Amino acid sequence: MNTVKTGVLVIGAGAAGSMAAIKASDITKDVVVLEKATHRSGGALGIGHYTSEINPVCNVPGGLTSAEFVEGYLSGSSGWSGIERPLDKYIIAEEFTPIIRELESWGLEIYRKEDGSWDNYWHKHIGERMESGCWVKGGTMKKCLMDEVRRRNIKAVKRTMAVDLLTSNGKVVGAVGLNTRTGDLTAFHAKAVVLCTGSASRTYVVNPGSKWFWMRDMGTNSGDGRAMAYRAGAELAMMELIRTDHMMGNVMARFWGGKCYNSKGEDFLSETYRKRWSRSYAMHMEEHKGNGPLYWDSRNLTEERLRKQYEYIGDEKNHPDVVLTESFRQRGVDLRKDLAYFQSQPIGFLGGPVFNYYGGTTLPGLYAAGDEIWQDSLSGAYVFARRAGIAAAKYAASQKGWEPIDKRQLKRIEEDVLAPMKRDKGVPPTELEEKVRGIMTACAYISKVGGMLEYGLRLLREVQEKWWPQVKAGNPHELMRAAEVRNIMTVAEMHMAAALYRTESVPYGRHFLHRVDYPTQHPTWYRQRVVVRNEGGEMRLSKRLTVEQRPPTREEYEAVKEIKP
Amino acid sequence: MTAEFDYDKCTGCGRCYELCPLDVLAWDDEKSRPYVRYPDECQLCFICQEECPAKAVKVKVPLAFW
Repeated sequence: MNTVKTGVLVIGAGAAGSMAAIKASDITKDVVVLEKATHRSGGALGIGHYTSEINPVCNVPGGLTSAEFVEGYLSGSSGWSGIERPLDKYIIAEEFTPIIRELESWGLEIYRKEDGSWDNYWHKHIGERMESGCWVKGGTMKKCLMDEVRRRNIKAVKRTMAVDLLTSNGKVVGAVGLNTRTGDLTAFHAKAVVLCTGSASRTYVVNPGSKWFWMRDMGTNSGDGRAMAYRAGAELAMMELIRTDHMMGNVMARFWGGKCYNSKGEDFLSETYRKRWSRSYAMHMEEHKGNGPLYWDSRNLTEERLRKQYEYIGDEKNHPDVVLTESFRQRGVDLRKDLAYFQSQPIGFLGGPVFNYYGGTTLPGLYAAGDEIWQDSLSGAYVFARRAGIAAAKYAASQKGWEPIDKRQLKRIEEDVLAPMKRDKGVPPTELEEKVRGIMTACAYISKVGGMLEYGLRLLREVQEKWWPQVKAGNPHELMRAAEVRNIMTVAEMHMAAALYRTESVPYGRHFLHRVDYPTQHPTWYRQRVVVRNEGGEMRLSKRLTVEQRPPTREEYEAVKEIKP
Repeated sequence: MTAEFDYDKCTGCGRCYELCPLDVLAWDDEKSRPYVRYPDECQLCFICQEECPAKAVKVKVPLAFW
């Protein structure tokens, strides 16, 4: 196996990974970034999802201050969830607007008004003022990051999937990469590693026709970072919380206005906001109660709003959201004339490695950012990737020598990863993936019951024991799929075990848990997080109390402003 | 069906094969052109269609979504 030495190793070149690599390169020139796809096409931005609007734009004329933003955030559904770390949101509010300006200097194009100022949209009243975001040209979103990585001569290694972390004396000292086209393994020996592998979305069967890759989030996202962190012994939290989205086929039904109706013609979301339930939870509950199908009616939007929506989302030259516009176009959906039918689908989990305000995990040398940690927004990804990149580079600089690589560990990883290639016959990895995601869909779908979770865990562990050792890969591509399904199994197990452990429902916040056998929130669980950890191959679960659910003070932000390794 | 190639227009530049995030496309060395090797693994991201300089690729939304 070849060895490549680097100060900072970033795993994943999406929005977070690119940003982490760029920011690390301000401190050290010794940065390598791995990407399972290619730098242009990898990550959520690569294919053009979510790319026509970014928010929050705080601390600008007419906009919210950071304190007002956090207050607004906590006064909504999230304030009752009991699991927030409000200072995270303050950090995002404070640091995202400067990042947008920096992205603009790297080539991001933002829609502007005639007077040259940003053509912001204003979407939610918080007190006297409105929360805002800006409209951006989606086609420039990934490109500006890619160009900046190139300008800085950061080494980007494409078609390379990180399959496991290397550890030495309790520290993370690199990772092994699998080239998905040649099948070659490379050991990346690093002083600090930043995990940015995105969401763990490939865990359910969400669309008809036995097609496992039709879903909202990037299809490459198989929870690699979470599974690698778990195997390396890091703590992960909040894996029990699921996120669903309102989907039309495999595209998100993106609406910024209008009303949502159930089959009885009731505008149920108004009631939802009164109860402070999260929107995705409420939509799921309507379906669960038998009030589906659900529709979105945006026909009553003002012409100006509709025009902007069509122009900015459907801007063909800049293809901001080509998946959405192409799907609507081919299916003949016109939001000016049609009611839009949608359904809830699971799209990922909130949880990930436990992290501090600088993106540091519970393992020295291991950092995480983006959807890997509890930042499911683009703004959170940028802000915490900037922090993690700087912190990882500072940590790397503080390490004088190189921790040695454990040769036995390297050998074991090599044997584990390459085993499916050495078998003459066996199960294709996609068949195993189909089975695992089938178990999740049958036993741990959006609404959960303890008995089914126990049964699902038993089935999953059987599959892991009996069928994983029989997976066969005929080429490097299938070897990648095999490495991915191993990660999907780990994430699925964490989700089911944590959801079984948490004996309450959490209907608040953007991510939720619906336990049919424990239908309400319970005071003994308030502010408690479920922490998952691998102890010698055994999955250990525990409760941990999180911070007070109140807006942070300016002093609290000032104390974490300077980034520490 | 997912990506469909119009081989009369395809110049064999390899852009789609280079970019496909899920590695669904493969390269036919003999004919010097791409083909869909793993149709079941296509995510419908449209990147092959959008990035093709010869406009030789069309991604079709499958019937299951209608």
